[in-house]
Amino acid sequence: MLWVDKYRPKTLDKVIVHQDVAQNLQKLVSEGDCPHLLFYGPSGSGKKTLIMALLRQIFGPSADKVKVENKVWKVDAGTRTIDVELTTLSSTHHVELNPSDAGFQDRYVVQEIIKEMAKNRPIDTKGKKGFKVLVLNEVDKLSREAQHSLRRTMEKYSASCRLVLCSNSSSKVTEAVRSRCLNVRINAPMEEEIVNVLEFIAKKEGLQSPQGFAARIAEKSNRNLRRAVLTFETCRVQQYPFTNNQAIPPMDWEQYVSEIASDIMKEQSPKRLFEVRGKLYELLTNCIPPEIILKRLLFELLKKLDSELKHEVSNWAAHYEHRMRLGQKAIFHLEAFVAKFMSIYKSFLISTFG
Amino acid sequence: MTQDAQNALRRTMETYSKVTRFFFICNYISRIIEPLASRCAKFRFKPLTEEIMGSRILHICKEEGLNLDSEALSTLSSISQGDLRRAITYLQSAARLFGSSISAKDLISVSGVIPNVVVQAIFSACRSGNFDLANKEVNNVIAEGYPVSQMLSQLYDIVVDADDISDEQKARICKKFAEADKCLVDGADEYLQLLNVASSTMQALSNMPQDMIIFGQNKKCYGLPSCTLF
Repeated sequence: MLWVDKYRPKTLDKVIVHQDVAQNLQKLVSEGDCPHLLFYGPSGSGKKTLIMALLRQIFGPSADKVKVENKVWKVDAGTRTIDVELTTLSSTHHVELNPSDAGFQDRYVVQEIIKEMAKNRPIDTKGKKGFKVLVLNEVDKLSREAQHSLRRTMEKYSASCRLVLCSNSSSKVTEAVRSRCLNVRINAPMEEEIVNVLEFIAKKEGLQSPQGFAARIAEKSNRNLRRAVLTFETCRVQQYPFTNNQAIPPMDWEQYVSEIASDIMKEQSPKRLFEVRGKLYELLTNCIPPEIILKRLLFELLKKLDSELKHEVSNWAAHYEHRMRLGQKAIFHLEAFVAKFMSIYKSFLISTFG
Repeated sequence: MTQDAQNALRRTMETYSKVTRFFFICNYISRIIEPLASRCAKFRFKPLTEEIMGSRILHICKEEGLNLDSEALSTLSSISQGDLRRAITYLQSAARLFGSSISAKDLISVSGVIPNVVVQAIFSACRSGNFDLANKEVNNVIAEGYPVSQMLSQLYDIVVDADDISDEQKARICKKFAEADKCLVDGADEYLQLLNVASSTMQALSNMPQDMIIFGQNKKCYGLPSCTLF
């Protein structure tokens, strides 16, 4: 079992990083009821962990017994019926799904599943009618229509089901949905907190970690706890006992992007652009999301640039990322950014050095 | 309602005026077509004043047994911007999360408003003219998970209120805010947009030329918003 899963806190009182949030959540559900919730924060900050712990707090250990189902819904959409296929993760008390997997049909999924849940309402031990919890991941990737239909369904079926929404940024969730939920911001853990967690794991595993080693991993992790724990485990596999100067392996795709960055800094020509295209394709086919590539590329370039160019390059990065979102094929926009950068950089070189 | 629907309503209103009276509620009277507006007696509702809101909130607090100090009350009225429903919602959420005594900080954390310190940090980084400092602050905002759209509107308030910024600079900065906001609605990446806004604000504040034509290329393209190119 990976350490990330093994040391994921199971209950709200065991969490290390967001203790204040956990305490508040505990108070919130102490009466067995809760409002709709919206968790937002960067990835690797512990949104999912808190949600799972919260479910356990409400429903007890039975919330952990989940089964994976691959369901097909037949949706009646006016003139024709559409089959929507989606994988769900469910226990007797909650259903969890990624509606954005259904692409543009996400609207139907959201409506159908909530209706279905409302139909068979669970009854709790006291014979009172209980509620089910629907956990929706990646709400920010939901289409606008789906978000609009979500707000109707949220109100209509609020007696029988509670929604727990999980998203990376709350700006992409419409105001209407946001105002119906209790918003819970989960910030990325500070480096000291990550160090605490790593030391906790090291203690549990009976490992000796030299002074400052955990701090180095935390620094490299970009305040992403999941990544820090994964890196820690990788280091453990590569070399144990740890030494103070042990290299912390970077992610291979980051290495690759940094190679691309130095490639385009060295030479600006159509030939080089062609070579870079191959590398970008390589990254895309390995399922690295294009906006992550672009951001990383910008990060690498900013490290090497003169300050007067930084403004312009970041401006164009924002420009092409926006275009990428509107368009269909990411490679065009990535390549356009590279070409733009080459042109800016080359004319800068010419104007400074002649 | 669409224009067509409003036009259709006009006939219906006259035909059935004997048996039916209509009540219309709208946010903007300018979006009601003239013939329809002229058929009705108009009542205008102003946003609630701070005193009225304050007294109502205190009334609720008394009924619910909540403890609210004066600082929290003024925070509540400023973050809800004259919207009583929103104020009550915030109050209820805060009461559920933090129990019966509520401070200004609790209200801010429930409402999703960004603490002033954070916004000021970004703004002073922009003033400093140091790109790397601004980049660091932007990274921090993203890691803390603050919504960037909210950030933009709070930055906007600061920029407009600032006395030492010339009108032209303000215009340049606000133009960039508008573009970034549109991009965010389209689903663009928050980090890149905020970085872009910070960098252009910095350029405007230090009076750097907007169109970087020093490099002599694509003069037309520089400084134009992405949207106009479509």
